[in-house]
Amino acid sequence: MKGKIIMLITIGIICILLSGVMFVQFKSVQVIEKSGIEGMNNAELRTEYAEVKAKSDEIQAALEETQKSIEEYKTQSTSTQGTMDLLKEDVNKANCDIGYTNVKGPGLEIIISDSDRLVSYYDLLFAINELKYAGAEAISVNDIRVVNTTFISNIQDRFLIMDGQRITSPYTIKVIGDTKYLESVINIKGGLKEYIQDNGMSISYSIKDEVHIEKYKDLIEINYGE
Amino acid sequence: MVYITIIVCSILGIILGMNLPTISYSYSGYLAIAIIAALDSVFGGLTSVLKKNFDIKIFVSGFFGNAILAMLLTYLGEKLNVDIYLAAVIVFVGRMFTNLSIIRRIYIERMAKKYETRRNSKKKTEG
Repeated sequence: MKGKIIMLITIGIICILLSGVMFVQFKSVQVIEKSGIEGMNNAELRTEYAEVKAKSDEIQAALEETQKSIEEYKTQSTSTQGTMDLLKEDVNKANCDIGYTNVKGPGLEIIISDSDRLVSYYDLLFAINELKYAGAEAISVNDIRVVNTTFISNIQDRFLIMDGQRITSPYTIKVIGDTKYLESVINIKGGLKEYIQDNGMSISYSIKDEVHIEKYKDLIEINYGE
Repeated sequence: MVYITIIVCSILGIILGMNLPTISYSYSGYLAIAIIAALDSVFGGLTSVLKKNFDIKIFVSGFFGNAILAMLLTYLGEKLNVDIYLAAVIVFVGRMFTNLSIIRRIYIERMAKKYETRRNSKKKTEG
């Protein structure tokens, strides 16, 4: 009788254990199947992992490349933003300096013309030099801009040639600069006016609030200097 | 009495199992192999009951011993990178089928005997 009870208890315990564990397992398997990757076996996981890793590596490489180019663009944009403005300013200033832009401003209009004596090229050069001495920013003779390659010469003592073009009297010199200084350099004793008149030519000038000087129309070629 | 115990305890076990928390993936393999080992023991026990040589000590020791051994072998296989649990599954399931066939044979023999005795008794009453 006692042995039978023990047997029954044992069988009961075993039944509880077995069915309990089985249902725990059923539930676990169900949950695992739902959650996908946890339900895979090792081989599947390995291949999946390899695939994902390859993909991730690829994406990582692409990302790095993109980031690099972004970095490049960033540095470029920051540097260009600054330098562009600077360069523009520089270019404008340089064009202004060398005479590649039309300029306007307060200045003088000087007319030198033949009289008892013809105007010679060195008279004009002297006049230009005097004006530069007075701080002229832009000069033109008969609307030909004076730049640093400008020359004035004569042919057979008869024609005046300026930058390859013939110029004739009256010679209109337009100049932009401080009108006070420019005027004084003309009127000063031993200055431009005295020199021109003493040498038998006529000179007149007028002060203008706005003088328009056109840009240099040829190309300045630099072949030898570096 | 034994059948009532089995049914009641099984239902209790099912309720208990439903309410227990799930186990993680890495341990579910061990549990599965333990369940198969236990089931093998149960079928072995059934066979021995039918053969009338059932011993509760052998049954209990087989039930727990097989389950624990199967789990240990699975663990060892994992460490050795060999799927030893496959061997356990084959052995246990194979034995389950053997036991099932023995049970089947015993029942068929019993039924055949019953049929025979009934026919014989019928013949006797007729004749």
